Amino acid sequence: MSVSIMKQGATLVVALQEALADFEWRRFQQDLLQRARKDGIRGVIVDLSGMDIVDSFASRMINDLVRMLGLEGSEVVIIGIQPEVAFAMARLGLRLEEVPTALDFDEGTALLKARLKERRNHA
Amino acid sequence: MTESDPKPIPLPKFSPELKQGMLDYWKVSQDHMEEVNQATLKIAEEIPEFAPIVKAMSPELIAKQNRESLERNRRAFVDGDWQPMLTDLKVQGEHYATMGISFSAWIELIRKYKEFMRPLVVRGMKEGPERTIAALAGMHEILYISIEVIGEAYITSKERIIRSQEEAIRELSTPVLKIREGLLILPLIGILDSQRARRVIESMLFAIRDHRAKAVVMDITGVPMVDSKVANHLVQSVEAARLMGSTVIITGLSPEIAQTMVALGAQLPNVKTYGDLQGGLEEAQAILDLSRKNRSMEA
Repeated sequence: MSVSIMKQGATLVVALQEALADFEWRRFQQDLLQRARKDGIRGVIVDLSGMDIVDSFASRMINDLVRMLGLEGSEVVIIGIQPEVAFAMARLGLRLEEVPTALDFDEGTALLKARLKERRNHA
Repeated sequence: MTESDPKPIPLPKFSPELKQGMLDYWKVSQDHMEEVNQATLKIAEEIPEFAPIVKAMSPELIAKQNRESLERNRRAFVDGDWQPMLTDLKVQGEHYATMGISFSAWIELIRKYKEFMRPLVVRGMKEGPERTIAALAGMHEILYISIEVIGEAYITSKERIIRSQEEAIRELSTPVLKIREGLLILPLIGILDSQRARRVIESMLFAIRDHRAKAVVMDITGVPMVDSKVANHLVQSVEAARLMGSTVIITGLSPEIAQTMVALGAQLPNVKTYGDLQGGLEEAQAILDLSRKNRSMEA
């Protein structure tokens, strides 16, 4: 399993390198949620630029993860989906509908900040 | 000159009579070599498409070509080694095809040559009617094979031209234009079938990555027909771009297209659409502004 999690202030940066097996996903989900809770994380950036395939299972897991983190009070942004991966996902009808996306790390952090601000304003 | 295929050109099996006929025909043409060469040149000059080429050739070049072709023919009809002759015909066919000489000009050349040669063969053959008929049959066979090889070469080189043109059209038909930092325009013209749609979407997604585009305005003014299939392709492109973090705005939905789309039940769910390019550009600019604002807030 190759996932790296880095903390930067109140933000976690998670880089997924390859497709994870079912049980790995569950463990990764749990680790991430606990860590976010423990460290008082407000935002998570998930970098998928290392993934060359995102199937329906992975896309459901990502969707779930975003929802779970949302329940914990964190905003999540997905970055770095490659053109081939995006096209394959669109053709399979995998939309990640509730997940905000950004082109790269720069855009991703900006988007995350904007969404966190929006959340505060709504409160 | 176009490269010719190294693999041997197939040849039918000849009966002994036909082989003898070919040899006899060749001997007659050898006996009257000067006459035949002169006549062939004259025939070529009479055909408008060949005339300028023949006239441009120096006497030395013609003599050299005649010598070479003599050797190739000798090897074919006497030694039974046809490949040098057939390869030469093939190369010539490809060459003339790319020059734009029509195939019918070749047919005419061969027909006129045949008309000239026939009485010559009849007069030259003194071994009785059967050998004469065989010699004529041999001539026909040789000319038939020649036209076959030339025709094949024509088709191959024309197909090659068509293929390269197809490629050119394909590239021309999917331009992705960057009009300012983070904004791309994709004008679509022509029918959007599945294959083309895939190419368009692919090049758009790669352009999004390469230019770090926040917004893409896809203008479908030039797409004559938008049915549910085409609409589906458009939706796919919007969704794929969104996964990468970019927004696609579709413009150029003319009243006719809007009418047919609704009549056909074709839908574009979650897609920002505009009738004109201007509306799309304004929306795209708003997206860029928002992104800039977000970034500056961060700083």
